[in-house]
Amino acid sequence: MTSEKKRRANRRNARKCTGPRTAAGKARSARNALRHGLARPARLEARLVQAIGELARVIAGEGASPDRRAHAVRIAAAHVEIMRMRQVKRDLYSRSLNCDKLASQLEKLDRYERRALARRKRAMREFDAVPEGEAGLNGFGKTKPYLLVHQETSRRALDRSAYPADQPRRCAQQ
Amino acid sequence: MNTVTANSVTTSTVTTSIPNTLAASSDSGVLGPAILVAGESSEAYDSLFARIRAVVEPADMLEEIWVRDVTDLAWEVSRLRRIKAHLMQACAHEGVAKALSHLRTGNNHYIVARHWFAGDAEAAQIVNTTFAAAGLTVDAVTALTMSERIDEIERIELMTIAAERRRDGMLRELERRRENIAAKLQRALPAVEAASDPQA
Repeated sequence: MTSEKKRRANRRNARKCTGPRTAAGKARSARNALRHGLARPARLEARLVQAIGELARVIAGEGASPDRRAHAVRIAAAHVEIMRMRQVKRDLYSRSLNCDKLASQLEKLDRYERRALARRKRAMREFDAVPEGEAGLNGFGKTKPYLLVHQETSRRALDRSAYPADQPRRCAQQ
Repeated sequence: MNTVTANSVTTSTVTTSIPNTLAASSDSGVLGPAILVAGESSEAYDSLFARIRAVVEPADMLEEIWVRDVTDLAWEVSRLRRIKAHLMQACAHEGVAKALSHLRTGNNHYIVARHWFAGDAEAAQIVNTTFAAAGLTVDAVTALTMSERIDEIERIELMTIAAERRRDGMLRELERRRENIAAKLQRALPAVEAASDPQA
C-alpha cells in the first residue's frame, strides 16, 4: 500500500506537471491525437484553399451561375483531397517500410481515397445536372469557354508548394 | 545445365521506359504536379499522360480530371507490379533455401542461399549442382519464393485489382457523361437549327 509520505510526494510532483503551459507547447499537444489529418476536409486547410479556388474557377468557367460555382467548388475540394491522399501514399512508398507494414498502411489509407472519389463523382453528376449559363451548351453561352479559362490559369500555374505533402510531414508526438 | 542466378528470378517484366512520342505535361497547373516515388521517371509519366490524353481527347475540365486520374491509376498499377517483381527478386534466397532444405542434408541451407544471393561463386556452384541433379529450374525457385511470400503478394495483387477497377470505373463514368451530353445535344439541335434558319 502507498504510504502517506509517498502520496504527498506524488501530489506535489503532479502539481508540477499539468500539461503544456506555453502557447507553442499547447499548440503541439493539440496535435497529439493527429495521425495523418486525412479525415479533415481540404477546404479547412488554408494552404489548400487557393488550389481549390483556382480549380473550381476553371471547372465552372467564368460567368457561371452561383449554383454551378458551388458544385465546382465541391468537385475541386474532393479532387484536392484525392491528390493529398496520393501524396501521402507516395510518402509511404518512399519511407522504405517493410512490405507487410506498407501494405497494411496503404490498405488503411485506401478508404479515404475511396470516399473522396465517391464525393467527387457525386459532385460531378450534380454539376452536370445544373443548367449551364443562358445558352445551355458548353462554351457557347455567357460562360467563357473552358479552353480560354484553362490557358489563362495555366499561366498562373500553381506552385508545387501549394500541395502539402511535398513538405516533410512531422510526427505529431514530437 | 540449368543455371540459377539471383537476378533471373522475377514474376514479370515491368517496362518503365515508355517512348516519348507525344509532347504533353502532367504538371498541368490546377491539377497539381505528377506524384512520383523517388526513382520513377517523370518523362515516362508525362508520356503515358500524353498517350492517354490523345486517346480520350478531353472536351472540358471534368474530362481533364478523369484523364489525370486514369493516368495516375495506370501508373499505380505499373508501380505495384514493379514492387511485386522486386519483392520476388529480393526474397529469392528464401525460395532457394527452401528448395535446398528438401534436396540436401545438413542445416546450412539458409547460409548457402544467402551466399548464392550475394553472388558467391562457391554457393552458386552448390545451388546449380543440386538443382541440376534434381532437374529443377529457376521456376522452382520462383514458385517456392512465392509460397514463402504469398501473403504479401496477395495483398499487392488486391491493391492492383482495386486500382484497375477504379481506373475502369473512371472510363465508364467518362463514357456515361459523353452519352448524356450527346443525348442533350440531340434534343437541343432541332430548336437551335430552327432558330438559325430564317425561312423556317
